[in-house]
Amino acid sequence: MTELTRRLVDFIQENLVSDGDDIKVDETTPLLLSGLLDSLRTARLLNFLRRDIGVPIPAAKLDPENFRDVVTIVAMVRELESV
Amino acid sequence: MRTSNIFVRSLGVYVPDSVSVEQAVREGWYPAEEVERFQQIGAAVAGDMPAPEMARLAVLDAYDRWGESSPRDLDLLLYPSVWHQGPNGWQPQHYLQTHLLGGNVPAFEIRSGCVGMISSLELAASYLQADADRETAMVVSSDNHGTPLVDRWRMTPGALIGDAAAALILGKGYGMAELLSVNVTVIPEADAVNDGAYPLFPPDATIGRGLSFGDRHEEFRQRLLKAQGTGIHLTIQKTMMQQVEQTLDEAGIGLSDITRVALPHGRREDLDGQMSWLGIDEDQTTWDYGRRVGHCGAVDQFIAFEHLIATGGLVAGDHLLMVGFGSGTSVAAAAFRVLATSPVTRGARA
Repeated sequence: MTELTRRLVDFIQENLVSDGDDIKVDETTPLLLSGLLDSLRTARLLNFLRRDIGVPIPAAKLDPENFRDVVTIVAMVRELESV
Repeated sequence: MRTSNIFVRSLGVYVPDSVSVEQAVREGWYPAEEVERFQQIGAAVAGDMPAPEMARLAVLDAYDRWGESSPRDLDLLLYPSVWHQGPNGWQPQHYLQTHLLGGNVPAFEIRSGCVGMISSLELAASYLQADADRETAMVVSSDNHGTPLVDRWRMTPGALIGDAAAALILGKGYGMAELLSVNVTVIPEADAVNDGAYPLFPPDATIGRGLSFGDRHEEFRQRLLKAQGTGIHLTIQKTMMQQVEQTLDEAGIGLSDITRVALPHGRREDLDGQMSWLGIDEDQTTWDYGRRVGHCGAVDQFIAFEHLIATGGLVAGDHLLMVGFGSGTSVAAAAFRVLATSPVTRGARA
């Protein structure tokens, strides 16, 4: 697991999983199918990516396939970093 | 749509006094344990005043401030509304024709949810631009939610629903603000957000079925989880961001040029999300006003506009961005440049 993957998994586990939800997040946990990413939580995730990871996500990238799980988010971040 | 030569002649409001959250807690209408979490202060409550009468007062307020013309000189009136306005088979815009406009001013009710006022700007601007002889158009919206079938304190858990009216006169050539750009779009795949999985026929109101947005949103969420997941939320936010980008681009400005962003009035967590999406700070929003009056149908951004102008929150040279969401699901944005803090007249301008 890369450093970026670990930070994302930790952030989602600590900040996006509701108290009382028995979800153990890993890099392939489905974020949309599980309902983990609603509007507000996605905003928090984008804030984390912008402020803590240093990669702002443009509107054009806000597609469900890019936020399916941590693996797809990491791929999107890597692509944006390479541009 | 990049608007050209379209100005705000005047802005009038009718905002009734607010009932505080403290009182609502004492009365048992609002849970005490939610006060700190959602940070609401009060909701404007119109009592038994009919929404069209509130609209009439807002129109008069707009003309009183301007003082140069009368409602009978209008070329168009659009009346967006959200909640029920009066008797079945009766039209609220005709009430304004009876009491203010006369019969020769074309007047139409617009049903476009909580973006109705912003979306009507696009219609009104287009109508004015289509004919050189057309001078002014009115967009007025009003709702009194204090009816059976809804509970303003619990309709959306934590949020407050308020009552208010706003009237905006658009005209060509001069005004207190310039409408730079306005855009509205709909996300058809989110049509069912508020339908609660109820049948379309017979309609809710005809059989006395109430409306709880909280229950309906949760039902929609459960439907999503059983099917394709919650990706539609991403689509809604993506659309909002694109609407904002397009509106600012057409207006020839960037987000850094925006003095204030007028958003739908909601809970603290709604604001936090919106600020995150847009990358703005609380002092660039209308939060502190909105939480004192509640979410007032289609007029949130417009009563906030008037409030900012009246209290020094917007001065000449400032830019205001309005962002709206409506059932359907619709997303709207509009950009204004403030030219003066009170209406100007043709004579004064000359």
